[in-house]
Amino acid sequence: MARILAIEDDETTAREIMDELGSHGFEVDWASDGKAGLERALSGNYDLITLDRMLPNVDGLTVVSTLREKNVDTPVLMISALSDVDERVDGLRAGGDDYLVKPFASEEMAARVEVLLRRRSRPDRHTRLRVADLELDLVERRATRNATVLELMPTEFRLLEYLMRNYGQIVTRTMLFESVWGYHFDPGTNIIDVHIGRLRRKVDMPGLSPLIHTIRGSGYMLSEHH
Amino acid sequence: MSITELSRTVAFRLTLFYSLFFTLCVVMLLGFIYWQTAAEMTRRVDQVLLLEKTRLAALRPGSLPDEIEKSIQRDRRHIYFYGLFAADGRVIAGNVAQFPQGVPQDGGIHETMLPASTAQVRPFPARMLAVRQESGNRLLVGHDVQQLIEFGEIMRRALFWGGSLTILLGLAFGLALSFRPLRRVKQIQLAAGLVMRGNIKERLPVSRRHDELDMLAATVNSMLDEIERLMFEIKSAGDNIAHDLRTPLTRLRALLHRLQQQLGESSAQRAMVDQVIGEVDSLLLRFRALLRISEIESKQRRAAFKPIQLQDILGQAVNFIEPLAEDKTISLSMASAPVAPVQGDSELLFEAVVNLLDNAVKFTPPGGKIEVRLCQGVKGAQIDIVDSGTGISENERTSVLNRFYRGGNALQTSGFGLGLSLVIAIVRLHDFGFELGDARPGTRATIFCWPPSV
Repeated sequence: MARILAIEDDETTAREIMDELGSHGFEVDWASDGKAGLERALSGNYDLITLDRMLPNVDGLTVVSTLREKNVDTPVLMISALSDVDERVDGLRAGGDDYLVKPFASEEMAARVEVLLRRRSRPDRHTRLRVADLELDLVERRATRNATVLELMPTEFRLLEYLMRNYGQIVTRTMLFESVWGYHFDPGTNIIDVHIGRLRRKVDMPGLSPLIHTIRGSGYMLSEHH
Repeated sequence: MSITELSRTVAFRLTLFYSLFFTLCVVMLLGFIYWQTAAEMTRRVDQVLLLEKTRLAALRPGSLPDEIEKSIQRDRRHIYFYGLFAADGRVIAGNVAQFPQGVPQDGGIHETMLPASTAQVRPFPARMLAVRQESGNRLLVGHDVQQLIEFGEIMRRALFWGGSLTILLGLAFGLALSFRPLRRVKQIQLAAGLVMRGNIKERLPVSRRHDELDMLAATVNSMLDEIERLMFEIKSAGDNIAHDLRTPLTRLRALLHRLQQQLGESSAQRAMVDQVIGEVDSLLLRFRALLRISEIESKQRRAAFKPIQLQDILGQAVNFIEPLAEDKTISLSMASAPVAPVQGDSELLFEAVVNLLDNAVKFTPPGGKIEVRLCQGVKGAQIDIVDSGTGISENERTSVLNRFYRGGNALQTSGFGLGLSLVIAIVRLHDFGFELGDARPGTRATIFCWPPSV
């Protein structure tokens, strides 16, 4: 069971993070300020840290950069009230692995935690991804399903690649937008759904069991089983 | 600045008025002097003529021709004229060739033209008097007034040229005088224009002369200080509210999610909770958009701008929105001419273009078309997004740009009125221009990639 440290000064937010991650089967510890958080992060053996950007005593940026200086490479999900691109860049440059802006939805936070944990346990070194009868050749940029070559647009290819890299995981629309298009704002409309819809028509051909599933209220998941 | 502008200044008008007034006074003064002098000179001539008449009348009639010849001899300047004419008009003595016609012989003074004579080549103006003697002869005594008339001519010419020159000098002086104030007014206009375009930190220039323009500029500047302070207060109040709401909203969303988890799929309340979560999510979306606008508006990060290929940004945005348009059977096309890279933030410009395209898709009915055009505009690159949608009326155009406002015909369309405010905030940050226009039918949204002041 993965152990997670939540460094968060607001008690209710911390409680929600703990509850949500707890319901995903994680063991969550809570540190309410930067100093205590840093101590525990350095001593305890955690698989992931959620870190508030603005904390009393020691600031979130300092916490993460201190961790990296001491060669602690635990994945860090930064949670911040500052949505500006510069803030995001600062957070990631200091050593954060992902950046989530307040106010956030619990599912979004949980999905990001899952993806970060997955990335740690299963590094992306493959040149060929495979889920059931769906195969993606990353070198030749070719997708096949049930021995049929899929005609994918570059965007669709990247979408499918991201879904396949995180198969069995819920990925949110924001996560898809950030990783496939590389931008960090709320696209606002149902545009991601439309893109997924297009991809789904090509991947989940009639007669084959669907691989791309919609998770209501959260996002999407690529998986053999629903 | 043009002559028309210069000639409209208070300085110019005052100078012109003063120079006209001055000229009028001088003309009147000199005219009066001339008039008095001329009258005095005429009076003296007349007096001499009357004295001559009296002197000659006192003589014996026989000695009159001799006396006339003597008088003519004495007059070295050849300004006196005498004539003694017989009843039949014959000249008995004198230097007047013939008796001028129509002059009454009443001893009174008349001004007339005297015919040419030995002394004068041409007929000349003269004041004269004539008397009929008992013998029937006519005696004429005259005085040449050519000089007097010439004197008047000279005076008139002097007045005309002097006056004209004064007025001309007044004009030139007025223009020169109005140049400086007008230049300062222009500087003030420039500064005020910057303030109006949202550069609230800008102030009107104040010189060290402490003149009336400076007094005015200083007053406007303190007014701007006050406006800036109020704006800052309102903004920080808004920001504080927004900031304070972040955490409770996060909690609210989390609690609802918890509730949703606890209710079974089939529970009666589940549908309602799902609906509430949907509402809260759309609330959060708007809230985040508001915060984002405020963030962009308060940004000072032009220093971090990089050269951007607009073709790439537009291409990405079109690709991103294209499936949305296709779903609505709207044709989305792009035409781009090569343009030089612009300085900017690619992420923000992409966001702005996506927002505009998203709006275009929302307001264009199925079967319509949207065109993205990139071209070299008047002073830089220009992006046009033209749709064949319902269009925005003139009145709506301005209000559509305000936060939260959604076009009257958009109530049935999902989406957020904040989109255009965000676009404007981004455009302003770049010091670009933005305009909504009529594409007849449909709407044209244009981003001008050059400072609006140029």
